[in-house]
Amino acid sequence: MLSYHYVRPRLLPEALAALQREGAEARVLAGGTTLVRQLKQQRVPVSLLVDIKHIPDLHSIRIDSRSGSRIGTTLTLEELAAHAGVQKYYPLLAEACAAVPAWQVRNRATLGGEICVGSRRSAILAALLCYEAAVTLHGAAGEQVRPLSDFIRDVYSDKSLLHGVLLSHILLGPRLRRFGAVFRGLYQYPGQRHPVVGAAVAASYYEGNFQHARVIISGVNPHLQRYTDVEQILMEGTLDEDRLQRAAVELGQALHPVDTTQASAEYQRAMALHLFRQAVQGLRTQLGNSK
Amino acid sequence: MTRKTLLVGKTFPRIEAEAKVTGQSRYWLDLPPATNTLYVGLVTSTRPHARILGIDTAPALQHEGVEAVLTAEHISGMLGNMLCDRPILAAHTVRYVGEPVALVLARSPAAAHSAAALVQVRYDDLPVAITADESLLPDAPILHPEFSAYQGAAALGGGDLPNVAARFTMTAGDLEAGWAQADVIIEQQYHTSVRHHAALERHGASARQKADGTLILWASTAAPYALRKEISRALGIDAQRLRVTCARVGGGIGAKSRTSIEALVVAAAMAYPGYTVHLELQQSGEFTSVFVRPALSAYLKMGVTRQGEIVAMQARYAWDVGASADACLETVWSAAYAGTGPYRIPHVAIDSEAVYTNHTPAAPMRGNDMAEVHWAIEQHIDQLAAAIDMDPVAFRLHNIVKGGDRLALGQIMHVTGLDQCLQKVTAAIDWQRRPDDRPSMARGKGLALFWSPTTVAPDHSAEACARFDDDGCTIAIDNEDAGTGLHTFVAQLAATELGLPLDWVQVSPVDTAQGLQYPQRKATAEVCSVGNAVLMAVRRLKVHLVQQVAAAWNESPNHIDIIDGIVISHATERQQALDEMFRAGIATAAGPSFLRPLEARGYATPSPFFASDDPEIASILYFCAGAAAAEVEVNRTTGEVKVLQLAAAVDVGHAINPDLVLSQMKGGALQGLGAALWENLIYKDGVPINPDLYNYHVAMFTDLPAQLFAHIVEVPQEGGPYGARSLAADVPVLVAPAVANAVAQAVGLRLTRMPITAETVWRFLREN
Amino acid sequence: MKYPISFHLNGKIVSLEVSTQETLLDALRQRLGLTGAKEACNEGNCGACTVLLNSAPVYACMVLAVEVDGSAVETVEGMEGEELHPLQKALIDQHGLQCGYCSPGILLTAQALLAHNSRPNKTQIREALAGNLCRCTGYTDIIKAVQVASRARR
Repeated sequence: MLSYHYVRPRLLPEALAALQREGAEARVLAGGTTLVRQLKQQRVPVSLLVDIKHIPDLHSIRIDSRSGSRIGTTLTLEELAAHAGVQKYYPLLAEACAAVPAWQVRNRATLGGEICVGSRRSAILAALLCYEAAVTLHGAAGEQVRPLSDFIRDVYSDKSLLHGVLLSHILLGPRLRRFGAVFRGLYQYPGQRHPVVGAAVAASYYEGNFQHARVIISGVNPHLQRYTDVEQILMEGTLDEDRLQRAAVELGQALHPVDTTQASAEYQRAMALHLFRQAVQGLRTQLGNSK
Repeated sequence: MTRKTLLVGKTFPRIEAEAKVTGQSRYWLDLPPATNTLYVGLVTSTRPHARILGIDTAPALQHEGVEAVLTAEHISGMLGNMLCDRPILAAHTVRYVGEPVALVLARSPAAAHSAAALVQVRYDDLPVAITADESLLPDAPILHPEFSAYQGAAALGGGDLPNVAARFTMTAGDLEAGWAQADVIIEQQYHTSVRHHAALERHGASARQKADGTLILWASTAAPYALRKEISRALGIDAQRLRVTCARVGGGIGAKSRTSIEALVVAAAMAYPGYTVHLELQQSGEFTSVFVRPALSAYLKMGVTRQGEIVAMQARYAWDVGASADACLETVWSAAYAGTGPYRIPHVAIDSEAVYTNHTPAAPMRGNDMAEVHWAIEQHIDQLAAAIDMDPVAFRLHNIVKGGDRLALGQIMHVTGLDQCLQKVTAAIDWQRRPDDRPSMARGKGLALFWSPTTVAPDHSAEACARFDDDGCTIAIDNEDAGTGLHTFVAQLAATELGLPLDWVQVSPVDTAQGLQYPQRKATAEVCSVGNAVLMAVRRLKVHLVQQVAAAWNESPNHIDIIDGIVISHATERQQALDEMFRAGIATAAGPSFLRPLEARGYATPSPFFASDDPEIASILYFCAGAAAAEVEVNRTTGEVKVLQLAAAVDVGHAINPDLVLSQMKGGALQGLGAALWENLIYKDGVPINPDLYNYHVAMFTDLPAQLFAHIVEVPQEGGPYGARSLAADVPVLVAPAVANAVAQAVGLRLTRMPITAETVWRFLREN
Repeated sequence: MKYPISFHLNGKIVSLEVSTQETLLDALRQRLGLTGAKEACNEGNCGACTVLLNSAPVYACMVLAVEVDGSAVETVEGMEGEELHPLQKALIDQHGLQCGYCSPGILLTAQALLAHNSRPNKTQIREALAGNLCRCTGYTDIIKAVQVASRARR
């Protein structure tokens, strides 16, 4: 039978010390919306829970449109959805957090938890990738800052990278001028936790051209990622139908869907391309270029 | 006298509502824990079909806190009401994932849970058939090779094909002559999905054998008497030795009217006298070890003349009943005898059969599952109307069964408000106005009619007991109210008859210790049978009461009445409050005269409208009828379907409590919408892959259509209590085919398979 | 492992020892005898166990009991004062319940909603209650009840 200890540190170093002392069977407990389910199913070996919700620094948020923002890992989805600064400067993040259907989940689930679970269908992670988020990690090797996209990719291939590691903050870059981000998702029903397939497109817009383009497709490939070749095509020149078509073709080649019970590979691909076009269209509208 | 009618046909909150909203109601899981409890860790099959080669219980027995591990070596018996085809514990073969194989009895829930995981079952896999179509193939695996030896099997007309447990047929006229008259004949196959009742409260049961050898079972059931009968027979014990009691039921939706895991705890309690054996299903067990809803594979062929006359119908309804057919026999029977839908058709041949498959046994879900039959018929009706270029409303009105028509069954139909229902729903969604399409969005409207036979079991007497004492009037009936409002309905009838305020009447928790001799199996007829039994009981009670008062007052009983809880003499205008009479005695000139507590029983044996020559599965009392309409919007690019408006109307005879009836209708309509669009228990290689509420979608607040209309139609039912016919619980019947017909109108495509997912619509749009 | 915790429960301080395996729902139902919060799916999907944790609705089945040390918890047992809470009364009067298993959870989520938004419209009610399933009623009458209660509040 599982039996584990519980600690509630008030300071980050205490939490790190506890994690490192305990080794692989220590788990970070934030909102618990995923971990508590795993504990009930007794599928993961656990000897210690480190509850990080009472470390003030991890629950701090600083939004600065010029120098960049820093969001504590234990901010809940509800807090982010309701935060005026997030709504103003990172509206897609606020929107994605608000779109998680159950209020009870939004009140508990944290941004850090969403990242560590790393669902390939997460619209919240897609939004973070649009804002080129980075994460601050604390582990045996000390503190390091890594791009979120790298972190997601690495954890996907090796879950054990999360052991003994604490994600303390999410860093978002300064706000670019004339920058927008749009997400379009396909839901089986309005209150679905994650869309089956989604497309996020972000860019800034100067003199008819996209710059800083970011393209993310959720739910199709094994983990969330940016499609930089597609982004390149979008930024090469005026975004006409021909260029958009080339971008879509490029995107199609980068997608490797497999059949799931929710959607066939064929449908996933068709919807990803459709939603990509919808997102580009939405972004143009948002940035005031309806052409 | 005017008082009498005040409490029926009038809305009251349900009588137990306050206890429910304050959290004071006790459901099974809320009962205080018993001392000396053994918790059950249920070991269930991980294979859809396999021989059991061996069960190694040693590692589990060594686990701390484990008292015993019981297998089919220790517990045997076959469950069933009419057909005993469900082993209490799998013996040599498992037939579905989730089938109970062994029980670990332990001192704590945690020990039971961990030790259950240590029981090693070795299997030899057998081929799997998961749909009725697969089970009917010539080379399909045979699920029950020993079928002919099962109790009840011989009488059911099954066994002619390997996996067919029961077969019922209805014929009328001359089918060949019918086809010859038809100008257009359409054939089509339709499929419904396996769904789950998904009541919020899971199943659970606990049992104890007392020192005198009697057994008591506490269970999350709506049908204690039915459980007692089935369990005592399966375990070979005298029914009087077993007492079954229930608490509030947190939703049944059909799955809490039949026996499943309850037999296990009774058997284990017999093996461990003095202990309370306690079994709670977890969520995945709720989806796999108890019941699912049967799925239907329907073949329809119908012929129509250019003038719009339906002249012939041939149907084969193959019911996928899972690994046990018993709970579905009434459904399969009803589909044969009501399988024409509410239409007048002279030449008919219908075959309805129960087909074994390798999934969780099926049980009806809200009514007799006539929803599944109408999924086929109502789509077929639309296709026929289109083929002869006739408006679907006009076509239906032209062909519906009306009072006085001779049915294919041979009986003369009684009057219903079917045509009024159709008018109500077409008006509600403004049927005449063709919806406006937008470039990427197609809109359509669809209709469906339905009828559903109200059936009773062959032993269809119902009994009620009414008691009057200083606590007021207490009614005992045989079935718990799992949410339909049955108990409120009963209280309204009793209060009306007795001339009491509604809050003087209580309906006691159902307990076999109350000793009703003629309990009715939980069935669609409870409004009629239970209602009439209650009326008889309270009328007798009133006679006794009035006689006592009349004797004390020295008056004729004819002059005495009870109005709003006050006993009044019309002759002398003498009056006294009834509660005071119980407290202080009947006031007389010679001082108070003691008023004895009174008890009376009532019985009802409704005369059936139709009883077949078949073995006594059921009889039809009458038909309930209704209509639904839907407006949908379909995204042409993604295939997404959004329901904009939904309307349902049901002829309930007489709505004893109109708002409760409407509440039933709205809830049912949303379940029907779920059936049309989402609900589907998916099996991959025989293994259910979405057996929980995260992956099996039950309609949420956010799924509610912008407009949901519910309408009551009242054409009183002869023989029904105050003309009541139904509580409208089986409304999901209506909605799904209306949605399918609306999608068909929107995009010109016929989706015959439930549910209508975005991807299926997308695929059809692309391919056509 | 056992840990002592104390928290405000419906306005009163309670102290008990809990193991790390216990959820808040277990502690309420089994240790404190408050069975108003219902155990249903037990996996955070249905909302029958909803309670308010520091005024915010949460699934009690997904919160560990040790986590609530120092917090304030409200359950349906704390809703009633001298009289029924307006939401309870409206749920009865508008027939927003059938089997009643979802009712306590729905009442608490609705109470939190009205604390944030005293006059929610239908869409806001639907979205706030999206985490509470009801298999019986079809939701319409529950939405009506929340609206009636919002008007009844002082």
